[in-house]
Amino acid sequence: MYSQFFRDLTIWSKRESHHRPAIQSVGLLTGLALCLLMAPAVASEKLDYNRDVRPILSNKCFRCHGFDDKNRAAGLRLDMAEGALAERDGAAAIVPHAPEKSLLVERIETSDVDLRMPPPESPQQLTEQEIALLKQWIREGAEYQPHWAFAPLSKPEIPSAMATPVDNVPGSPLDGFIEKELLAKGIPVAPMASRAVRIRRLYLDVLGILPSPEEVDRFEQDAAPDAWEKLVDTVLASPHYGERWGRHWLDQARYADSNGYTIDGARVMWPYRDWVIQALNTDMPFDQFTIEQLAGDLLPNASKKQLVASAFHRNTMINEEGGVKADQFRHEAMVDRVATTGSVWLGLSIGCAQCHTHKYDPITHEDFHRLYAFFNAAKDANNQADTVPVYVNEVFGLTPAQDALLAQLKALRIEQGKLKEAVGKESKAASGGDPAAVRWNRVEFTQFAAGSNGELVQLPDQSLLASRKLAENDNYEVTFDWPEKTRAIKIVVLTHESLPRQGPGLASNGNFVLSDVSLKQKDRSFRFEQAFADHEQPGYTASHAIDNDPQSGWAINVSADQTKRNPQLKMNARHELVLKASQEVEPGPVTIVLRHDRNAHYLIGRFAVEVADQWPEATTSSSQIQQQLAEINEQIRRLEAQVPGAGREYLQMVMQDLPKPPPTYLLLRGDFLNPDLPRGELSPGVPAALTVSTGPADKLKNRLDLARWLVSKDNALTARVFVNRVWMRYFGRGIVETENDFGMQGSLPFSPELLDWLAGRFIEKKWSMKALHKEILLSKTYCRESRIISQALSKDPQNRALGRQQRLRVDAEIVRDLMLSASGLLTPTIGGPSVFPPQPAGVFQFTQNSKPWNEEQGENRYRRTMYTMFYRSAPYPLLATFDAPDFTSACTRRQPSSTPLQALSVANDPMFLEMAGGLAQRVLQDQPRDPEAIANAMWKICLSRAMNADEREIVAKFFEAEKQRFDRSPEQINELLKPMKRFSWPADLSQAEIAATISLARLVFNTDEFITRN
Amino acid sequence: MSDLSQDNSKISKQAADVLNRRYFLQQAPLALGGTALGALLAQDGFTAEPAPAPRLAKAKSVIFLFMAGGPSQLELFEDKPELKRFHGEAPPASFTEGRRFAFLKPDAKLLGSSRQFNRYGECGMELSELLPYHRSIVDDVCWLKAVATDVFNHGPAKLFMNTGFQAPGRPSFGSWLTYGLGSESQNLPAFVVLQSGPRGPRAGNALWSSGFLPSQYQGVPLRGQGPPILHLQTPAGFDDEGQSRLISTLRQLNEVQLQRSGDPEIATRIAAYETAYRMQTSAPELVELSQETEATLNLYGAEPGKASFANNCLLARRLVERGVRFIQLYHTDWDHHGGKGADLTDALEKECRAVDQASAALILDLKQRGLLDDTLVIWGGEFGRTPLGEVRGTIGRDHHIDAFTMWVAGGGFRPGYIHGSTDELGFAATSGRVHVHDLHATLLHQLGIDHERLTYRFQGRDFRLTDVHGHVVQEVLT
Repeated sequence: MYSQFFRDLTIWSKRESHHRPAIQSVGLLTGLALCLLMAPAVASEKLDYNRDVRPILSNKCFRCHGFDDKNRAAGLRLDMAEGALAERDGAAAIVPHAPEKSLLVERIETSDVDLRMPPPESPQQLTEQEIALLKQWIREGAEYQPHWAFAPLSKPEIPSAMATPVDNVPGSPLDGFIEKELLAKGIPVAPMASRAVRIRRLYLDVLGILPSPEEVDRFEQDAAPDAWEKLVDTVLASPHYGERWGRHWLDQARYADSNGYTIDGARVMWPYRDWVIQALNTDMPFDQFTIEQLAGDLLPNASKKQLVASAFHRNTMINEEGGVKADQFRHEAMVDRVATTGSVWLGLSIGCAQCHTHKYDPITHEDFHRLYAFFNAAKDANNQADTVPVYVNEVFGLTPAQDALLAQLKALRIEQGKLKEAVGKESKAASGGDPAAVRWNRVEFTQFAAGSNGELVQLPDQSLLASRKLAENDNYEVTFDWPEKTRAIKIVVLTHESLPRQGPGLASNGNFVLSDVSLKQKDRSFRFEQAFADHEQPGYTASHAIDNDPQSGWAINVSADQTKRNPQLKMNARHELVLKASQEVEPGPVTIVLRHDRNAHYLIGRFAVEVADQWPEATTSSSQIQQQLAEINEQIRRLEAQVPGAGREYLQMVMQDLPKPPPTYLLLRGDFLNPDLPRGELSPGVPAALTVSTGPADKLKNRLDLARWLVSKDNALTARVFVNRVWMRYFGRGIVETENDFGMQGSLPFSPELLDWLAGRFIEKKWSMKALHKEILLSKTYCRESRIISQALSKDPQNRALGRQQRLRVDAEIVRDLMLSASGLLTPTIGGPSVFPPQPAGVFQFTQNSKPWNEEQGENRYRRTMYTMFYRSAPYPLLATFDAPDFTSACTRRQPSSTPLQALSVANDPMFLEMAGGLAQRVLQDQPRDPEAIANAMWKICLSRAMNADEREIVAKFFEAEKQRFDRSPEQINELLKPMKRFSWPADLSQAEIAATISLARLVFNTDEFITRN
Repeated sequence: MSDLSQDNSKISKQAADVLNRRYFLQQAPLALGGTALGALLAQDGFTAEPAPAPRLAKAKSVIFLFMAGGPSQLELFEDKPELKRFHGEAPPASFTEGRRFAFLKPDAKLLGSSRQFNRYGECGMELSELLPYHRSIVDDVCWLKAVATDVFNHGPAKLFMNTGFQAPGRPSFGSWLTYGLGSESQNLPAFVVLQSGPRGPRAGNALWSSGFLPSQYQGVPLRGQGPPILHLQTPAGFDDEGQSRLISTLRQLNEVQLQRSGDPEIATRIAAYETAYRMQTSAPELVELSQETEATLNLYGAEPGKASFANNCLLARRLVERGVRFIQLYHTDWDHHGGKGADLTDALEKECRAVDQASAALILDLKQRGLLDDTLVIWGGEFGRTPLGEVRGTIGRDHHIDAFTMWVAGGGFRPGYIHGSTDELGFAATSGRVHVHDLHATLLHQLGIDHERLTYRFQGRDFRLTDVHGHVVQEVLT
């Protein structure tokens, strides 16, 4: 992080000559940097090209004298021996063993500004030390080496590790590699961390929740020689492992619950999230994990789960704005798929070659487009395209009994649809009264708009007519004055000559799907509790328009059955949707939003809104059909209670290829309107530089071939990149620090042998991710103390050699999850649709559309944070505050920060205070009554340890002062306890003591230690 | 290799000084871990030592009045008699060839403006009757009449104007700037976003995202209603006494851990809590517009307590006074395609009335307080509007990316200078074209930053706000 920061601080004022830093502290930093970077001094030891020389050439020279032939200056190429050593006009840039004869040396040393290299105006200047290193290397023979990351895996010898197991930590061969370095550099080594620290570290890293005090005690008292290994096995077997590590993977998959860009409508992707969790929990080998996500759809007889997995690359964004060109945003998605594949599996910035040949890495402009060709077969074009229907829990596996129930439910629903049709006009009586029995008044809109900039036009009868220029999933927002206190409202869809087949919808047959209707008055949102229509298409009933599910809705096509029963019934006619608000709406301005999220272009074409002074109460009916319907409804209700998610089907986007993919051309400057036709069509392929040691991989035809190649023995990068990222999560920094750049500009592994050994071991153990975790978790390196050792500071200030562990702040989701698990409120359910925990008001003030956010009141209020609904345009505030990205593109590493906004969030968010209340309740249930016992219990729950002496006094004073404050002001107690009605408190405690206990819980949550992994 | 003694006494002695950042900057490299040093240096963008701006910087803060939706330059700033003359006719093919529009049909006809224009001030800038207050600042601002962008849909174009790139994921101008220059405010965020108009700007959060820069550089929305910053309010049950006890007790507990672990990240966290606590006082004071004189309120047309563009302009001045680096005001909605609520008559007039007076007042007020010299004020949208009419309920104009008008005041931009011109129909620049990348380069230049050298290494590449483009437009500078 430091070197990154230092390198990035390259802001200089151009007007000032001699490159004086624009930021004064840079001068200071430069000094520091020299102390810190531990750069090899000009040494007696022979220089290593990859370690010592290539970074200099790459940073300072390759931009103009590198791989990119378009921008190569003077035809000179320094990235390979052939170019550098070639004699031109009687001289060579580099003459091995003879720096004095090498033109390169002459040019980098000259004081003549016209000849000097790099040119004086270049921001990349050589230091004296770098010049000396280059000369030494030439003197030693100027040996070039192939790039380490592209070479096959080596089989390094395992150095013997120090000493024997300590405190039941068995150690791992990887310790040998680490300890060899530590010994060589004389860096002191930290002892094993205490068991309390270790168990908390393990739980936070692997599960993202706290160990219970009982679990801590049990481990602390476990005398078995394999106590640590047993604990590691137990933790890796927990289903929460799939959640914690699944979340890391979802960062890379740029998972989100919305389409992105400006409209940012909701999408169903959670089955894919379930799939990732399930794959990790069942320890699916990483090669298979790769293949199913990149090409599950192309596997022979692909299962539904494999199709769900193929959505990895359907996480790209969809622009629903009006007037967008589908071809443009399809292209954007394809580019993202190439770039994401490159950074996730290869650790390379392949995206850079979109516009031009890479300046530093051997990835050509053509390489980029040959990779693009693998993805260009995709069927989706800035739209939802293909989907599969998924039940809640289906990905985890339903029981045969559940399967049977769901089949039954499905049949019943079909039957129900038929009956509803049959009831015809009478069906209104089944769900409400006869709308004709009450008086309806058409409202006058004061404001109306479509979400896109497509237009709605008001007609003389107060109805609105839509143009065909609307976005394909546009929503309508209309405002009007609610006339009187009532709950009844009606959406009337109308025909018009300008609409396809006269409408009333904009689909080519005149249909539409109204996915949701919502009503808002000031800050109050209303739900609808009843909906019925004069006609509904089977499977698209009126109730679907009020279920807050974007994937279901009301539509009006007429089935053959319906026609048979009622030959007069027509789709292209006036229809009505009657709705009952959950509460009476007060007179005054209200806003109604009509959403069309289900199908592209299935929008309502013309509509009006009417309000009635009273709800048409149901009239009793004894018709036999209605009785049947009531029975079926009851059966359905009963069945729904027995299956997960009430047996609703969700449609998730999946990957599908076109039968005949369009040709792929090289796009000049990356512009999709500018294909290089003369060059001809490009076939799919992987960059030649990656196949140097294995021979060309030219038989790869489609995504499945690509996926298989990525995890084949011909490609060592995938394993290297993956084990490095796992390592990074456990130590805060990868073996290769630039985890997203294994190219020429990236940093070198601090132990190349360790990286190759770990990657080799990973493959040897059949790509088992759990085995890889276990290897690291059992190591002494993982189990060391993290406190900073002052003696080590001068030798290894950044702890690169890992003489100790690192303190790491937990990720955004885990900040909340830790509070949830401490409070005892956590709902540990795994997977399922996204949920809506409390969110501060006004989050959507700054977005184009308001998003539905019905705050959970039941157990979903306390689900793990990874299940929180994620809108890309307005992320859940906690996540953004604690450094989670907005998932517009793949995120391979989050940048931790420490800011006042984080402090405000943890200290003041009422959601967290509620959890402090939960913790107080949990602690008080166990009967401690004196403040020290209360505090100790909290410490044990939150920090997995007892209070120490220094803390005891501080905490006692705090508790007493808070108790006195509450004693003085009962109104503060009332305010504090008002939102905590769901909790129960022991009767023998005063209100002030309870309030002070909650305040103490809030204090613990806010300590640095609580959100830190020690 | 010996087991280590737990001697952290050196570090614990430093604990007394943990909040003295300068001390840390000097001592850290030898005493403390590198990760933490990076964090200390980068810090949070709020409490960092004010990084002194380079000597040659003309400006130290920026106010961007973002007219979201794309105001019509042809109704406001560009009198085109030829366009009026050929009103209703098809444009010559040479004007439309190769241009892509969001909504226009191929048979669209030229649309002359019905607005009256006059020339004002010594510079003789043309203004229509829709912007009467702008007449008072024509000689204070630099007029850019041929600005060009690359993309013609709202979301991508807004991203382009803010981040130099059309897809989300890159840092915005304000993030780059606070990353480069840090903050001068101890108690407020360095990059603040304000919003007025019927809805938030399209693309939302991505417009003030820090992209791949650390998240402390992201813009902080100041909310129009309730407490201006999220979670600024102490929760129910806690008064100031309770809150200050929390902060001071936390400090003690965290210092115990700092002594034990020696991790300077803990010092950063202590400082963050104390800054947060100061923000709880300073931010509500900031939005207390009733502290302003009657005359100032009248100048802006601001009404305390009522969310408006005028209030936001006045807030922007107060933010600049308090050392905030980058203030962005979004005002929606200028998307006048025609049709109800989006016509070039009532709807356009409504937006003009909402922003005209306060935009001018901001310039006059900054000038009179001596703040205009080192503040850059930018006015404009993500693109302009076409010379062609778009027929919806009524006639409007589609998005136009090849030439539109913006203005910049203060910070060493030439006052009363008109830069650039367009052809007789207003399709393309005939001189003085300023591309968005050029605008960014020039603005950064005035802030003392070379746009080619403000870089950040991400996924193996050094990224810039201006990507591989951008030239400083010297003509518009004093």
